[in-house]
Amino acid sequence: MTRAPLSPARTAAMFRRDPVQVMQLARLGLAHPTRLSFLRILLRRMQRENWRFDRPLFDIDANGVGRAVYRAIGSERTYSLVAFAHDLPADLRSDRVIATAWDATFALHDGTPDAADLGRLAANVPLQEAGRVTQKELTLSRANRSVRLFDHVVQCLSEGRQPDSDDLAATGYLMRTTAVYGSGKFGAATHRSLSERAETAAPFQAEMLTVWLIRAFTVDLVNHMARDRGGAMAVPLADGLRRILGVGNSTGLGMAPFLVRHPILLNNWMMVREEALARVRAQQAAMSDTVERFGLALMAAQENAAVWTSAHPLQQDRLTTLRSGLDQIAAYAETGWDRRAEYPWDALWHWGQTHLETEAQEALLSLMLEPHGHLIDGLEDCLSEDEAAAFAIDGSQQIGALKTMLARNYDWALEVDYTDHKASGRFWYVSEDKLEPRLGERFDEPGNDRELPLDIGRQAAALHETLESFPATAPIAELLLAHPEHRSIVRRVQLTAARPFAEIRDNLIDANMLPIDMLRCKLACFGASRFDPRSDRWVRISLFQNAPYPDDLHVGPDL
Amino acid sequence: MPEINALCLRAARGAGLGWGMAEDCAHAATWLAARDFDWADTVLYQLETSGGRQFTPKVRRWDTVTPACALHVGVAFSDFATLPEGPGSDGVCVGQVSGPLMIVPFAARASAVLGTALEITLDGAPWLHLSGDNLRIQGIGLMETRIAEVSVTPAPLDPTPPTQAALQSATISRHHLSRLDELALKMTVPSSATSAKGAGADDD
Repeated sequence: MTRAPLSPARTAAMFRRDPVQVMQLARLGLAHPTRLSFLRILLRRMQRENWRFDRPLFDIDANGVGRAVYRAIGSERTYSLVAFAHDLPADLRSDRVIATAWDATFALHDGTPDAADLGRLAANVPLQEAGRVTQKELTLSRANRSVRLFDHVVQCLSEGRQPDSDDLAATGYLMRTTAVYGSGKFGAATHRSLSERAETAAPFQAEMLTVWLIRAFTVDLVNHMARDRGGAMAVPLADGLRRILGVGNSTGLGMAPFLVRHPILLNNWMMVREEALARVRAQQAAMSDTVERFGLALMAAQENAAVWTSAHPLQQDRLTTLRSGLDQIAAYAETGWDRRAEYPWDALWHWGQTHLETEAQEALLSLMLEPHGHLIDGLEDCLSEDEAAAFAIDGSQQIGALKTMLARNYDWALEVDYTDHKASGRFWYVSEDKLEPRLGERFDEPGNDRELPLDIGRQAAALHETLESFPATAPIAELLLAHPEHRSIVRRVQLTAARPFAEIRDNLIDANMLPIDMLRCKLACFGASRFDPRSDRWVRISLFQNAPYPDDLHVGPDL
Repeated sequence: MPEINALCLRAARGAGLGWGMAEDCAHAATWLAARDFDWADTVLYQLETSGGRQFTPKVRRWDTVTPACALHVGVAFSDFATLPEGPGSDGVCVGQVSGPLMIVPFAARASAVLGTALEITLDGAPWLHLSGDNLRIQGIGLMETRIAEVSVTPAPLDPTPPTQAALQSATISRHHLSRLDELALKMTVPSSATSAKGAGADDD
């Protein structure tokens, strides 16, 4: 995706943020979900296309063990979540990727599964990584109960009373997924093979549908177990309360390298968001209904920030900043913002740049996009791209041109002294036991000879140094013949030429780098909320909190 | 295909290739797998057999001392595609190559960039006709050739539909899988207590 063909607002180009500002890790780590986040795209499509939902199978016993099938029936195709609920001893419950058993396991099946499919899936899905699915499956996933809340809710409902809403909000979910595998993993269909389908063309749509249907399953499960325990006395979870619940997710370092290993996707995701912001800022006037919906979104954000908690000191500080910033925005929108002036949204944005902390600036971005669906929702078509198309290196490009691109897009990397122990204090690697990405201390631990190539800045600097010994008119093919070690970074520099948002513009091996910033950036693109770091390298979040369920998707307002 | 790509990337890196070369190796493996070629054997042959890397691209005929590694020759062929050292209008002989099937994905890339079909011969015998990703086998008996002199000549574009595996279920034998896994393990690092600290938890 390049900038030129995107904008229907011809003046939007003048309002775009500089990638130098946008792509700093500290700012990416403060990203908020927007209406262009992947789960919102899914919900909008299902609502717009009037998808239907049913539950043709729910065979689960009093202990919560059994299987269920949830169908999402679109205009052309049906997708089925096949759920297996297990009786998991407490001592086996683990959110780590090294776990081998879970409270529930899932697969998203392409179509309606028949008996043979269900038998095949029953033999494989509970095994997760140790099993195998087929191209008739789109995802493979598992989840663990929040034991405290899950049992509490079942007990309350079985006694005929509703759980306290504060208790629900404090945890935010009945189950948390510990992995949602898609796109070709363990035999499942690839995203590429599904890209011709409108409903799966945008990123991670199958994964989002999986999680959304899991959410419905978790509520059905507590209702079912409460009924079994309490008999006629039991009541179902009230609609207003179930809405508070999302699906939790534990995310660790495994997700972090994705943003670096997929620079084209990162560029598109950021470019789409930035183009959306530019289009809003380029509006010459603010319509009264958009201003009203901006106000509603702001109130919802304030409510969300009020109940968003974290035990991590860093996140606590950020939450304080966010709450205060949202209050500032509310006060300014009420009394200071001249919404009748020309380019009022741009004026609001500039005010935010001057008066708000970064956390609140990024929240303001999300709020400004919210009422402008008519202007920006079409950008969702620009999120995906065939990465293979840009894989080839142009060997005929001259060294001088490559140097120019390096200077333009990697200047942040060329200034760093990588001999400094702090600047190269860490290294990324793949763990031997689970083949998962890990972060090591370069000067304290062995293994940096097997480092993953996430040291983009250092690679760029090394390339820059090598280029000094080549004439500017020499072709890159000659450079790579003599120095194949630069092949990976040359490929990146070339593809970045037309993709200014392709790189995180920070040193990812610095001793002070925060992996959770990479996680939040990606999770915000998904649409995750309640970001709650548990260390500098893993995080809890919630998906679909306050979103509709299958049975009220078409009742609520437009998404 | 993503699994093939990931496995070959790790295996190539584990075998000692730089990341950029490993990326090209993985990309080539998926190209071959998508067309039902024996991608695993082809990759393993490159990674386990030490083909020479001493060659110099020249106009019309590359200098090669010993049979050269097809992966390295293929990458260079792709890089030099539009330069005088590439196939140009008269073609080029890239010399003796070890495991020539690995050259094909890179020749396909060159064909696409040049906008022309390419004929590939092994020791002078017609082998493959490439039009970008479209491919026609002209010498089926040559498919398992291990060492041959490879020549590439421009040819008229061919409208033959691409050879593509129908279900992307490119198979691999257990033996090949374990050898690739073995190589892949060489790029992993035992998790340390330090790195595991704070990497996750099992709380409620």
